[in-house]
Amino acid sequence: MVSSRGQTVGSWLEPAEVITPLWLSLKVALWATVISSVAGVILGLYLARSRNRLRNLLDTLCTLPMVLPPTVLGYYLLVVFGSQSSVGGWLKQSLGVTLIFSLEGAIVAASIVSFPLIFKPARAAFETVDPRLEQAGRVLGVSELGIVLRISLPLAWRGIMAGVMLGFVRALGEFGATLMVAGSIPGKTQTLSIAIYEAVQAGRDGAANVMALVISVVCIVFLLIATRLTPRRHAVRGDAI
Amino acid sequence: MSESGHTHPWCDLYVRKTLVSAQRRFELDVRLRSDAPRIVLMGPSGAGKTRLLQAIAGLLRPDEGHIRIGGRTFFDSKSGLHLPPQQRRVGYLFQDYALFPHLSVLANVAFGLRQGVWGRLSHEQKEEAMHWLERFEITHLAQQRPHTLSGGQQQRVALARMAILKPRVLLLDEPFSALDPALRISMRHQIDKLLNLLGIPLLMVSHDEHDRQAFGAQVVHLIMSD
Repeated sequence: MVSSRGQTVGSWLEPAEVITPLWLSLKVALWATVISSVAGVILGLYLARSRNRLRNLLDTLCTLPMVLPPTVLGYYLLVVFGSQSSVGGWLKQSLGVTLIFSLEGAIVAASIVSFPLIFKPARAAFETVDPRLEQAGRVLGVSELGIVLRISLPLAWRGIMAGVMLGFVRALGEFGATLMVAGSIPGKTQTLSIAIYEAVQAGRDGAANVMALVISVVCIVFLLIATRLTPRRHAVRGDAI
Repeated sequence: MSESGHTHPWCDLYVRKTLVSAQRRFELDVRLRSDAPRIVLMGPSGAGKTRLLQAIAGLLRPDEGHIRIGGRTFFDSKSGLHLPPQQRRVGYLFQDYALFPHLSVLANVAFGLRQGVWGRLSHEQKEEAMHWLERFEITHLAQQRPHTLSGGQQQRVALARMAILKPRVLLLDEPFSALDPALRISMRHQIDKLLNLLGIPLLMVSHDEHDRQAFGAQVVHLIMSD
């Protein structure tokens, strides 16, 4: 693990000390949210419509990142994507991507932990869409893709967006798996939550305070948005704008 | 795939389907050949009338048999043919109309015209939709959402939404059961006009003897047997 014990031991901090990790955190969280939103909406739609008997097993497996210790997740990622592994070797050879100790690794770790928070609400939202509306679309000659984009998604978007907000906040706060996979390289993989840990370890309480405050405010704002978007009992249908 | 319609009755069905639900196991077994332009399906609830309409519309795949409408084969278990609902062009009126709650009345009516996934309605498509709104006397509702409409208004929207696509056949599932008597008479009249205008046959599920009289229809009884 790469560690960065601050050179300045005093409790005053320079703006860059907060802004650089904040910027990295936002970058990681945004990318992770985009990746797990696309995958989560597709999986949510599949699980909502599927009659496959294995669908609940698939749901369970994809929910695991929510309950597994982040260190276990990080360990799995190291095993799968490490340079010793075949997947890691292939990624490096063909795409030139190394996930270990890199920003890409932090993004992958954050994507995986936020994924369950996005696909579960997406599944629930798609399940509230009346299947007869989708059938009506078919009888009207609309293609399957058209039905998803013109009927299912517009009717489910509130629930989906609520999950996306939660996923973003989760990705923003990601610590354990990211630390194991991407380490804590200042300016490269040291996100805000990791920088806080480092600051506390180094006894720079002032820096830790400021960073903790910043991340708390960002999280509160996004949680408020998620709460506002969560479909209310009476407005599940017919309330999309 | 399509044969000449002259030698075959417009409606030629043989549908077998075993349906298993939590409550019961039940076998749908219907044979029907008819050239009567208007057919009313009657029978006790649970006899599978709605299921039969769904099979014709392509929303339910029979285990065995064939479905030929207007000389076109929609389904044939022998050749394994099962046209998707998108290619059948049937006008199916759902029992609760199944209007799209997130769209205006105008967008509901024009829904099937717009085949692309993105983009807006073309000018011609909008004109066409407005024309059908006029025909069903719902022009003033164009910008409203379905949940603000009365039952009779919703039904007109649903009818306009399918009529605009010039369907080959009209399938109605107990269309008047939720309407009051005065409205029933006027809707029967509207549907009669629509059938004549489009020149297409009708297959309708009903419990009401008046429907048979109003449409001068042939009656087919579905029976329950053990």
